[in-house]
Amino acid sequence: MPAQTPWIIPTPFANFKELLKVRPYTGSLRKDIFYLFIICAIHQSILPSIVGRYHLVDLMTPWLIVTLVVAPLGRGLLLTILGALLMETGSTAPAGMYLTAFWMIATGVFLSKASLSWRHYFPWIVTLTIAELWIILFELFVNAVILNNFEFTLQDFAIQSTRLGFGIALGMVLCHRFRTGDDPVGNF
Amino acid sequence: MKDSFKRFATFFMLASALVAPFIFFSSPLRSWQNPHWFFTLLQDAIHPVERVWHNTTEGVTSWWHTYINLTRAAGENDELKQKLNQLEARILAFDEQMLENQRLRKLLGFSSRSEKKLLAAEVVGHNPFATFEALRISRGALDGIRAGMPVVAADGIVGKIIRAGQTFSDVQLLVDSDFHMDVLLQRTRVRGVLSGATKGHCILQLHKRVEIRIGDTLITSGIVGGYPKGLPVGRVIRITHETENVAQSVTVEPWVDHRRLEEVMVIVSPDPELETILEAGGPQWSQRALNKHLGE
Repeated sequence: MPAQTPWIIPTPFANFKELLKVRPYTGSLRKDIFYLFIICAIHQSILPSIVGRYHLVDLMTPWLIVTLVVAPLGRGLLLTILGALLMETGSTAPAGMYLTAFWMIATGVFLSKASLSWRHYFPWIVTLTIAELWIILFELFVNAVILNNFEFTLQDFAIQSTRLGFGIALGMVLCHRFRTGDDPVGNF
Repeated sequence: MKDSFKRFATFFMLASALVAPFIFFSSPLRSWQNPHWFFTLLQDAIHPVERVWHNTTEGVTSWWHTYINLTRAAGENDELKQKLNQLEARILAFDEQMLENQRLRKLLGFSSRSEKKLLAAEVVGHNPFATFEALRISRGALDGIRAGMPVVAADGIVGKIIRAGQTFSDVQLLVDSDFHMDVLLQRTRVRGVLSGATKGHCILQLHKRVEIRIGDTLITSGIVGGYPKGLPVGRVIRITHETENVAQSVTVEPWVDHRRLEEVMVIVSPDPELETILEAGGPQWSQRALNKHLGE
């Protein structure tokens, strides 16, 4: 009995299937920028109509943190700057707020990247927690400076805690393939 | 070679990370009001996704209302007919009052209010940042929209255009922390500057002796910003007196609930005061005035 020929997925469909594997760092700059735009559009337009006005879900911060860790320095910085600009120009946040916050995170990641083992859970959890907390506190601080007062209610605490928890969880999902060694973490 | 580049990169990143906050906090802390074409291009690239999402959700909602909710239509139709009759009667009365008002204005020598050109726009996006909220609308520079134009809704003031892309514009809301506007207390005609605050409210600082009550309505003064005089802005919901302060802090809830907005109107008529200044001083008047002031 002759051996059965395995089904071969036609190239355009295979390419499309590959495109559906959304991840922060693909190795192709065009794809990375495309995914960043899609994530930003979901973050700015689709999520608010689902979860309401409260900023409960943050897609951009975990996405950019994982990109910074796994991508080589140049590409990581380029994508982070682009992401920060997208966040700033799509909101009324002061010009430079996200650029400053993410640049400082990028510096921290760059300095600690080579010293940590990214195959373990712990460095990822710590990095994501610190980064998400930093972004939240930076936003609150800038707002306090603009308003000249600071009011942080229990409701705000619950919102920011949810945002923090979601950011860490999403970051852990995004980093899975890099942690398990499917894709190596990019070096300098 | 690689080591020396790495050392340079480490030094550069550390130095820039230390300097960045100083540069940021020494800036005016304003959002991108007149962004570079590149930033507009970034948002233009995202806009099609927003349109697709908006049109899809609108389509589904409209289909739901048209077909599934059709059973309620007959009852609603009767109810609406009754309301229409009542409203027609009221319109006749209002027409009479308007004519009377015009006659009285003429008699008193009041200048008639100039007609403002309005441009309707759909709300296609709502920025999720609870601190820096903004709306995105479906009209842009191609429709003649420019930064600074006032945005209103049926209930009152919504905000102003903060940046205009080719086919979209971002609206800075009344409740944004960087929003300020001149207002009047409708009952006592006291003027003040209303500022945006967090949690969907605005703050108005008034002198301690100014008489104000919970529930008082604030309207636009019509002095600056291109807003017509008398548009409703919000109502007073809290008054705070501080013993060591000569001011009272008034918390105002806007009449417009921006979370439920679907359509807005942009006032595209130019601000007469600003146009006069620009006509007299030219487009770079503010920069020249600043340079003169700084002695450059």
